[in-house]
Amino acid sequence: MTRTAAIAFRRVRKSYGDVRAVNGLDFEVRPGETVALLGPNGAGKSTALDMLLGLLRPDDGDVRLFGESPSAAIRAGRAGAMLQRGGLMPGVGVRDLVRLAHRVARHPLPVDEIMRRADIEEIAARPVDKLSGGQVQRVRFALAIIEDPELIVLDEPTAGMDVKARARFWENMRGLTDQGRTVLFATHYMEEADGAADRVLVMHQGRLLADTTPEGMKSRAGSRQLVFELDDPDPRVLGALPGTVDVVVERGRVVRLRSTDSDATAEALFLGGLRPRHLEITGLGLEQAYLSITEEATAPLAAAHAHE
Amino acid sequence: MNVMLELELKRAFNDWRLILFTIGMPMVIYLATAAQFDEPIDGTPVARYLLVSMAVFGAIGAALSIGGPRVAMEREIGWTRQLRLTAMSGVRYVVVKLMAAAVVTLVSIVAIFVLGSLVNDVHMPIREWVMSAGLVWAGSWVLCVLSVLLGYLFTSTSITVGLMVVNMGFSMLGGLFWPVNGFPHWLRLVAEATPTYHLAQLGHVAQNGDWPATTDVAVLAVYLLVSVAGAAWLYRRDEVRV
Repeated sequence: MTRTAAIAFRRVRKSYGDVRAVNGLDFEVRPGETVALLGPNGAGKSTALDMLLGLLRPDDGDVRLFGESPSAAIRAGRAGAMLQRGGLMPGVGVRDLVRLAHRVARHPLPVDEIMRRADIEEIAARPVDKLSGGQVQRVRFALAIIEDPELIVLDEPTAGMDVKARARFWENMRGLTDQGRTVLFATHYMEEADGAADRVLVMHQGRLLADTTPEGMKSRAGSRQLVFELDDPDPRVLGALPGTVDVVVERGRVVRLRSTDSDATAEALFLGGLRPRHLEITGLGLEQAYLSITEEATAPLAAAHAHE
Repeated sequence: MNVMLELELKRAFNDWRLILFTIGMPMVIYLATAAQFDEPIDGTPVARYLLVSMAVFGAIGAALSIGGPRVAMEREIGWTRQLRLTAMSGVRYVVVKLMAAAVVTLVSIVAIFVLGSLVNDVHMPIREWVMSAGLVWAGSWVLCVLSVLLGYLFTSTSITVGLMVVNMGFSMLGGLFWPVNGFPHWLRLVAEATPTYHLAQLGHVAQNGDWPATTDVAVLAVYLLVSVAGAAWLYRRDEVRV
């Protein structure tokens, strides 16, 4: 590694009482990467982001931004963030708020440039407490890019936006990431991770469950799904077919089979003398891949709890 | 001019309810009561005596309603959290709140004094006008700090009641509505423990051309120190927890 990592988590732990919110988180993000942080609610994403931004101190371990402490990096204007729970000063206009943030910043972009980049020019005179959810998100985004930071951290940036606004937001983001900025964003929308990120981190119960690309994640979960009907399906036989990752039998005859090599699986299915009806082969989206990965991680635990 | 202070003041003076209660109400009470009594209080004509009492009443209302409620609200909605991601220090945030409160407080004191001079026929040498207004204003910074402290102690809903209790309690017990001369002995002791009593004393003494008494300054200084220490401690606690 020749350049300092934009983000480095080293064996980071954080507990709230008995709850281990983050439990040994360890990863690096290189400058220029766009990384999606996925995970179910309560996975520890927000806690991780709070530590990343220096809003929370880890119990153990170390967080560095560009080799500095998070608060030093933020004070130097190297990192900007859009928080989920970051409110806006009530009772002031959008442009006034941007002016305020501009004034407070060390090396800010011109106010007009920020307004343009965040796409908030037409709501400049509106009071911040009279904005729609999507407009609020854009104003928060404006606050995140005041200093034109090298690293942008976004916690569910498109929450509250409609489909059109979301598309526009990511188009805008792509313009920024193309200029070599590092972006880390947490999201619930898989298509955003798929479309915008070149790396995906999946958090689960305070740990990193997967560190891969959107493609890698899909193939890990089996990239295709075969659905067909079969009389008296035998999961053991089906599970032994080439490429098969997972087999689910529903209502005694509908088989859902995930495969990393659907051609080989289908061929073996017919050659094996089975007679599948209504065979359908579909690509597995990131969403299903994500669900199958987190379910796999939860299943053994759930089983363990059931035994108790 | 500092943008944050500018926005804080814009917000305050755009809020007609706040202006009505903090600046308008003391003016109305002053007008309504000054003409009703002929007997001088402590040898001072009523209009002139109440000038200071109502200026302090206006000051406590203004001082309390700017800092605390905003701090409580902005903590709740996460604006303070957002600010921590900027180069702005938390201390500066609090100082701007105090400055905004001090400006509104000054306006409310001046409003009463103008009313006293133009309508209620109070006559004093210039020096006494300036001294009494200036001392009441400077002393009211204690209340500005107290308000910020309450802002870190309460939520945005519970602070309304908290401030009402502090405002009315200090105003009544401090003798702003009824002179403490008429208080029973034990209540007078309570009165002398309030910052408002000593704040009013600063003004009354200055009206007569005298220098402030050591006790008044000392009690206010103790209130100031305790408020600053308390606010600083709560602020630190808040920063760790956010």
